[in-house]
Amino acid sequence: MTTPVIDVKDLVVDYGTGSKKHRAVHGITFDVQPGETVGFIGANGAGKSTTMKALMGFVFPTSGEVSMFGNRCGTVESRKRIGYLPEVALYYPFMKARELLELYGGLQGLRSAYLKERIPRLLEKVGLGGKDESLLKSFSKGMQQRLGIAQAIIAEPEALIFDELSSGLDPVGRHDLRSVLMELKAEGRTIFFSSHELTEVETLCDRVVMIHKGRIVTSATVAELMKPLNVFEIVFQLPAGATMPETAARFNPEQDGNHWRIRIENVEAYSQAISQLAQSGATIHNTSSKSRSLEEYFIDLVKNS
Amino acid sequence: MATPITHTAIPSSANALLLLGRGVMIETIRRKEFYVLLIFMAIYMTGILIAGIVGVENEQTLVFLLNLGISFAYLSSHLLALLTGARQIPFEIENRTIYPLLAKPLSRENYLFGKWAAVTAAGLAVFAVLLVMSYLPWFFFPKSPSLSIPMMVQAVLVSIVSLGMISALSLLGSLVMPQGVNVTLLGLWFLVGSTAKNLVEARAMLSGNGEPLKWVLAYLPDFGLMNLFTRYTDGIGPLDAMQFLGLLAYGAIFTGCAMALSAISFNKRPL
Repeated sequence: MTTPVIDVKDLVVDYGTGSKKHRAVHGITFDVQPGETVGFIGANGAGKSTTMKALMGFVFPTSGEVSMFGNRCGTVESRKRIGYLPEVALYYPFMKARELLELYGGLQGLRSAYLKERIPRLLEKVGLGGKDESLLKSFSKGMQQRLGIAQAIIAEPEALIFDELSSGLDPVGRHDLRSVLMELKAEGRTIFFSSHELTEVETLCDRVVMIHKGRIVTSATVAELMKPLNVFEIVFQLPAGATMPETAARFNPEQDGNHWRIRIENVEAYSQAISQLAQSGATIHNTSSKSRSLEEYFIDLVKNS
Repeated sequence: MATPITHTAIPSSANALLLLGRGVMIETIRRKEFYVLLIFMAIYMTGILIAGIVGVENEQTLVFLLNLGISFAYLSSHLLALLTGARQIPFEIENRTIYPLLAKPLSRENYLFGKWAAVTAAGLAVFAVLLVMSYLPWFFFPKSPSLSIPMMVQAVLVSIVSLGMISALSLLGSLVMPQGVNVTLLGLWFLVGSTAKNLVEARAMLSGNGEPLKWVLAYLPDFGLMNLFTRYTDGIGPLDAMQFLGLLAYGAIFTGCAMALSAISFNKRPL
């Protein structure tokens, strides 16, 4: 059996002690397999960053197990094959971009001769070409985020963990970042990231893990998640005195003058309803299918909880 | 397993030490306080040059100027190490620079030890530059003053250990108290702690219940013991070997204890 890149079992994380104790994560379980791109989504305060910090060993689990590549999280061994982008990070304002990447690359064990050649290419890749000798105190938030991505991928790690991936990036930055991620994904790297940009999650991810108030509410492939999000709508008129066909009646028809409207989420039920309506002599005025986005699904989920 | 050609063959702990050291050096050089020190030293050197033109008339004047320069080098390097050490971890946590750093294959102990070595090295670099400058008056004096070279070597070596001690204490302080409190308490203790300790001990001995207090005070580091430069400029000879090694061990024990406590505190700390 393949060892998961990330394996979280019954993770509980508490902050504070005594009366100030606050449970941020309530016994969550999920894994990320090699080569997968998994989006970790949830509202602010849902427990995403705490989970990611537990993965990196920055906060300690109250109970449960967290491992990466089979190594307990927080150990040096577990971080050797990982590139990490923190939620919000500033980088040493007194350093130049080149010096910072030399520091991080060096800590990953990369040779200085290799870094000399790699750093300019890497800065080019994240849209900071020619900024090698610029002091970081002159960098905008978006530039810092791009630099953060560069430091995360400098050693070409097997797995990447990005907390709030597109934070601080403008639309151009987000587009550039998406290209970088597509490239990393095509190279077969495992990517686990959180983002509030759900279109990004929809586009890039194989699977989505949704967390709400410290609990996992969904863990499914994007295709599985999007399947029930397709809604078919039929607008029809019944002949005078006719009764509502059984299949159509099941979907709570809404009356609008002489017209009736039903919404169906299942494609087979939709076909059945169409054929029964035709048999009963109903006039079908309009049929349409509408896809709900992941964003709409997420908003409904948060509002209804 | 063979090291890939893209990877360095240096062991990771030594590598981390060098890289973190370089980072602190860059910080020290690019921050304002380093230039403030240089300005003070430039003023001192201007004074020396004027004295050189006017003429250093006797050995006492030369020794006074030397004492002044060395004291400045000793005090400023220690205070710089204190300030640099006290801000390292709080700055990293406040600005979240610690996250990408500790996300690399770097243990918290290595990070802490690397910071200590880097802060000590930064203090040492400043001390070395200012100490060399302190000897400038020598060039204006026709004959060498009768000062003991072995004593000077001992004083320099003990100062290095003392710099390590203040760096370790400032790092420990930064983990257990607010930065301002840490700098104020440790700064005051460094400057007047030895005198205060002696005064308290003397008063306690006079009142007849000094032994327990003396025992308690022995657990506080005495920076006054670690400054042998006054002894050097007073023309006194070197310490005997046991006394000298004892002083080195004294500094090393306080440094080791401070670092061990720092590691315990830092390892338990969620970030």
